[in-house]
Amino acid sequence: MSIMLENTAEIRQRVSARHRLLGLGRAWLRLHRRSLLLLAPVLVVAGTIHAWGMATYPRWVDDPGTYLSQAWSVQYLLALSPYSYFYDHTPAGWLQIALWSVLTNGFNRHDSAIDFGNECMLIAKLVSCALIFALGRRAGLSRVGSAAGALLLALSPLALTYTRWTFLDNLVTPWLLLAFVLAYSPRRTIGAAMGAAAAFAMAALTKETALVLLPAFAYAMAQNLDRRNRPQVIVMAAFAGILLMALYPLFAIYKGELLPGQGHNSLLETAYWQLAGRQPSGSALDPGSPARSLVDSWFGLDPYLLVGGLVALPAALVARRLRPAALALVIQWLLLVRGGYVPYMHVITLLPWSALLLAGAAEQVGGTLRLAIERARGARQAAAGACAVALAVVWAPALWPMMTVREPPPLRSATAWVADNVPRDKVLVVHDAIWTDLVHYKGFSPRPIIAYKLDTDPAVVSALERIDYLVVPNWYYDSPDAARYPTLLEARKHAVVEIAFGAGDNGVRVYRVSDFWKP
Amino acid sequence: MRVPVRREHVLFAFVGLSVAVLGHLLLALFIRQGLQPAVANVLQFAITLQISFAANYALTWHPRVSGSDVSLGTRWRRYQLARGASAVLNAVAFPFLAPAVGTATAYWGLVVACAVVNFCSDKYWSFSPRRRSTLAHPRVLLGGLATVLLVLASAIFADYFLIGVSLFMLLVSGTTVTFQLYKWWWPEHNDPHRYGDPGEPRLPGVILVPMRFEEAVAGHTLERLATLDHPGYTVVAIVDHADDPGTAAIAHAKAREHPGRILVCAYPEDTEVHNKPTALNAAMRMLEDQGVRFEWIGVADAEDLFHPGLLRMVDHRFRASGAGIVQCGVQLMNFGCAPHAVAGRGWWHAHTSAWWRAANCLEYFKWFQSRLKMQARIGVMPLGGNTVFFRRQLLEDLRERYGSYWDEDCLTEDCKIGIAASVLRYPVDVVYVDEMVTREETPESLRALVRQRVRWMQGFIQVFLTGEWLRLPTRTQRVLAVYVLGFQFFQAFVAVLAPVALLLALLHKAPEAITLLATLPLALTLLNSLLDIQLLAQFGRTFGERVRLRDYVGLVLGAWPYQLALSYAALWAMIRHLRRRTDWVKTTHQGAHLDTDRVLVTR
Repeated sequence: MSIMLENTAEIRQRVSARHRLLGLGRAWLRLHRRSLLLLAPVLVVAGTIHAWGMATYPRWVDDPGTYLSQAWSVQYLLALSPYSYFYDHTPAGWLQIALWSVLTNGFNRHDSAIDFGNECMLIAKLVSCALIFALGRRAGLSRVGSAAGALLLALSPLALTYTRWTFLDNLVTPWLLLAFVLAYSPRRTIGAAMGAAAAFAMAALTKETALVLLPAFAYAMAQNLDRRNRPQVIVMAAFAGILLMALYPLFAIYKGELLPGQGHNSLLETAYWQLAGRQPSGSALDPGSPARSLVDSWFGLDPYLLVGGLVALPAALVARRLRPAALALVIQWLLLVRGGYVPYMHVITLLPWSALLLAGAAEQVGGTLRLAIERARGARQAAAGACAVALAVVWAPALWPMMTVREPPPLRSATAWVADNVPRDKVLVVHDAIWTDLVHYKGFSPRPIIAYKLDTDPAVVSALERIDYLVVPNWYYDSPDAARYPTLLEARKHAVVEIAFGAGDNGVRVYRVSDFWKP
Repeated sequence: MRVPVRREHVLFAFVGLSVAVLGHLLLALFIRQGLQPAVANVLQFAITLQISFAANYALTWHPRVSGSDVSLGTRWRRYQLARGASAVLNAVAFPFLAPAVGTATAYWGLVVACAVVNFCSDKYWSFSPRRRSTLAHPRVLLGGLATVLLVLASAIFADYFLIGVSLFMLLVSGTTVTFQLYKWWWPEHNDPHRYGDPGEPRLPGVILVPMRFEEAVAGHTLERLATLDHPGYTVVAIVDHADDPGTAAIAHAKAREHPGRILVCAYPEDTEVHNKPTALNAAMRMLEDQGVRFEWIGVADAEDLFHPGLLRMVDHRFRASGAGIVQCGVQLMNFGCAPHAVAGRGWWHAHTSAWWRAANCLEYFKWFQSRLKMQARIGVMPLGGNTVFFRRQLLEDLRERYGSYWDEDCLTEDCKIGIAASVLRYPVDVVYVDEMVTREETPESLRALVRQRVRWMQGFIQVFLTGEWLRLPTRTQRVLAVYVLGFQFFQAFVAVLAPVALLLALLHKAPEAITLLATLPLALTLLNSLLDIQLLAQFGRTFGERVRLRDYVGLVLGAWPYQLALSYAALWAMIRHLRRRTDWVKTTHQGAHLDTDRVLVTR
């Protein structure tokens, strides 16, 4: 009988899990050898451009500081926020940052929390680029075309500026791309579909705005269904996604904070405020609207990638597998012209799809040329490659200054001065971006108050007895939102400037508040 | 699983309440007399214990004690011991429990727990009509004590308990779902052409049919088995001439009708035991004596109607896969509320039993389509009891190694032989072709189903404890063997306990993260219900049966009670095992529960 194998050791070798895994790993490497050889230099370029000078450009803004302070409090206070968590965003984003810090001692490896945030964004960027490549391959692009897509995301000055900031959207991008990559799994297993749905849920848990792409994601999933396991795949994927997302409202229910009520935060109340209560930004089609000026500021950094993405949309009509990506891009653009509130960093949600579609369209054009010109082999690859190289040349002059800013951000200098000159027990009202630095590295106790919380958090208001110093950028006092910080403005009236860093809107003045003034 | 309110329940509650009231009055009296509280408590307990003994003896358990040969003194001693122990446990547990779950919860929880424990100790020990009580076996008592301690510990360290239990439940229910989906995990596993085209059969074979008290179906079955589409095979009917002459006569008549195709084998006369492995071994000896030529041996039950094309497929799979065993699908069919599902039992019976029959049918649907394939692939195979075909070489190897083909002392010989084949490293091929499955019916009552499960689970414990699985070549196989043989006990419990864990987390005000974790197992049991609905729809389409809305409703509402019934069976199997009771076959032989146990003999 041939089915009987005599040697036990041989059987163990054949079926042992470790041996099989090793074999699979080697087979995978062999199979993707060429892709990896092409992707590696792309990632090196992307990483270099991203990391070179990320400490000094772009300027420090609110949100990164907020998220890093929340990540810090997850690790060191075991709470979702140093203040009471009020469901402003789903928490998975800073939970991931905190996890990375827990695993790698992240906050202690840097001098500033912002630097640690930059490191997280660098990782997210590299993963995003790799996933754009993978998604391009699975959407039917050639290796060169997929690499071109990744390069477009890596080299655009607009993308560079916005992906360097520690924004939740930059953590959403890899999850979304992963969801689409898994949705196009060639094996079409239940596991891949569940993974795709779970990745999409993670995107939504990282920032709830990702949910608007659900139609595009469902479209991609539907394209890849196999009739032999379709019902099971649908049930299991839907279950995985919904269960993971349901953890968020369940968390609120278990805390008794789902419904609005006296004396506690509420998920639904905040959601209602975000959807309906915010000042609308107007439509980007309307000149003079805030949305339009936002779009103009993006175009000022780089018009080519965004416009290129829009121009490339028709390519999706030809390439079936680019359609969900095109739908995603269309949805995100429609949000801009809809007239509702547009967050500052909305452009991040446009970038990966634009890059992918532009590369795809270039391949389509090349393919058409190939039909026209006999024997033009490799025309598709050449067209996509040429597109990326041409844009790289156009972008180079804008990229250089972004990598070579010398002077440190004024807030950073202000932090250093405060640490050297202010006693640790003074009450400081500070900007989000330096809060974690003052608490974690400089040891201020009581912990400084984030300026934004001064008038919005009831717990802070009731506990406030005095204010000694104000460390906030100049634009904070002049922004349209300033009316929301009456206590801050009032305190400044009773304060003198101790020292100033930088000039203009981005400059920072350190105010010492009079001992005789009480809030 | 209905627990009817009986006279003894009412009386027990009445006696308990009145004695409690009396106890409180006494306590107040003693305290007013100036006694120390501790002394007053002990005194009042001692007095009320005697009163409650007298009242329970004369009222509650009167029918149980009258005419019994257990002496009053023995009963009194047992009563004092049991009630005293429960009171002491109570007093010890309260100070620990109260801060953990709140005073009121602790108090009333303990009152209820004590009432249940006392009732059981009364019924099955103190006032049992028999000298040796059902539950009084030392190992059972030890197990019970361990459970009580575990429950107490879990109440005190509730958070850690919740984390541990939730993770464990996640592991169990997660793997259960994954294994059940194996067939659909890769689309290729569900490819309509995955088994290939059978082609011309080449291997001669034998089908063994053990028959006992099967006059109703024997003729029909043998007729069908004699006319399958395969050029070279023999059917061997194994009948007990002395015990069951009716079936034997039918078998002989059929053998005369189909000479050369049907042989009759006599069940050994020199044994009191009647079970399937003995019958199969006897047939093997006969085949050897008569020099019948065969390459494979199949096993059929007396009511099994094989598909005419089945043997061609088996023949083909033996050649194509090189497997040592080919296991073909068995499918319970009568799932619904339609009256024809329970032949002749009427509308009411069909509707009240549909919930567990649907769950039972789907279990087979999942087991033979998915689980067995996954296990065959890894190489740990508890087989089904019929429509299973063995290569001759495999059976010879088994005899060489273990001394016999089928283990005559094991309750689930099919499981044991499967594990043994895996140890001998014979691959198993699982074939589930919708139109070729062997159609069977569910046990005729929930009670019968539970009894069947008790027997299977006890058999699995036996197989587990023989330790043969330790010889499986790889660690993956051994882990899966533990899972297959051992975890099925937990599977039932998990579905039952998942809502309890969440409730505990909520009542106990555990941290949100722990409560979320405790939610996940419950979510997975919901998922199971979803998959069941979808599977039932597919079942209906596959077999051309109409599935009504009420069938789905019954399936969903019955999911939890069904798991409860399985948990009950698992618990009972463990208790039976601890008490070393393996007398299923003997009770059947006595004919006391012949009707309900028909399934036990034939499966």
